[in-house]
Amino acid sequence: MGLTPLVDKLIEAFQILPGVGPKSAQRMVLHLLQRDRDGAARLAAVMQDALANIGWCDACRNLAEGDVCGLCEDARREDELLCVVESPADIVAIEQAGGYRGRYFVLHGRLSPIDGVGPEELGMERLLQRARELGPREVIVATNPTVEGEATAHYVAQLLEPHVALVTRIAHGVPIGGELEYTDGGTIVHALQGRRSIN
Amino acid sequence: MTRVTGERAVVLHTRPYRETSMIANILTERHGRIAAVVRGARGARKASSLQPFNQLVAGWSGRGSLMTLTSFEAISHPVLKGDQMAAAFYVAELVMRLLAEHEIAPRIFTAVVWSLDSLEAGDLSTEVVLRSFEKLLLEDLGYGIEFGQCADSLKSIDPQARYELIPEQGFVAAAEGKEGYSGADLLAIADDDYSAASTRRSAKKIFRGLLNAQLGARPLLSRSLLLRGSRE
Repeated sequence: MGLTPLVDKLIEAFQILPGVGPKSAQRMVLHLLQRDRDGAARLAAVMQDALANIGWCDACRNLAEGDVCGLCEDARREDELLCVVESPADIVAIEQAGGYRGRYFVLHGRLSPIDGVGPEELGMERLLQRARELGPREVIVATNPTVEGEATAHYVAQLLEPHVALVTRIAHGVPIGGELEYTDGGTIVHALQGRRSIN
Repeated sequence: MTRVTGERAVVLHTRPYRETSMIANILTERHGRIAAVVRGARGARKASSLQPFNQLVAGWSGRGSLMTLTSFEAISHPVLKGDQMAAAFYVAELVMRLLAEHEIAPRIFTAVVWSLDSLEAGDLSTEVVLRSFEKLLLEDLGYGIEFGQCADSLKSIDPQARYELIPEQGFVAAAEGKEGYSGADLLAIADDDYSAASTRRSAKKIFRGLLNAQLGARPLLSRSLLLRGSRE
């Protein structure tokens, strides 16, 4: 595009990021090269370090430095509860919300036959093993409220029910502060089906 | 340039596309299966309307293979549980794999809608819904076989006799020592009567063989969704 071949290569490399096209990649690269070379060096070093040292936790498949992640190492968390999520970002969301002190398991995806994602790709065997190790009282399936997420939840329930006393699904419904009038039909259908007694 | 509005459709599959869009595969009543980009579809409201197995009234425009969905409104949100959902994935996967894009297939559309409605209503067993769907799909794609007539003698199937299936031809009298299928079961399948367990077993085996011949080496993943596979 006119600068040097290496600059072009760097601009192209930045475009792997979500939401970054050629224009913003160019801005980022020029900023780093012209104004913040120290920052660029730090970014490169941390990136290398992260790639070399961050893998998946052996126990729960969350992101981890070393063999086991911080959540699995933390002895204060309850082994009684195990929460199954689609991605590490979901763990962050649940942890930020607070109120949950149990363990996790990350599937890194959801069942989607047409996309070629079946039970093996999601580490279902590892999940079964994890549930047997922990012996939780309850497994909470917190996959997303999509058709694929539901299919995944159903599969997890079938897999774990012989080994765990209670397998539950997170509730779906009208969001807090929302208004029925502006809520879509699918959500309302689920909210009505999942209604519960007030007292 | 194609421009269609107000067409009934069923969502078969969606996948994320770029940052905020989606590509939806929908089966339409009069235009066959189409793939269409839906812009800004990752927000909860639009994504909810485009969940697989929803029925839509949709409009689209474009040329070539990939269309742009210009309007859509969900007219049903089926709530499927467990095996019903696995069965719905199976129906969608079969259509995605076997029906070519833009091939006009109103009977397959009707059959998909009927299957999804029946799975949700639960008054027919999952197995009966799937066998009925498989039979119609095979017939409509041109891979159907004659269940009421012997392929070489052209006589009606004898309920007392046993038959074997010759691929792409049909049923002939079973050779000595071959188990084959009972004539009574074949006649029941011809009448869409799956009340006998032996009919359901035979139909499952026959349709699976016929479908596998069309699907080639890549297996259907939705079959693996059913842990207790025999119930499918």
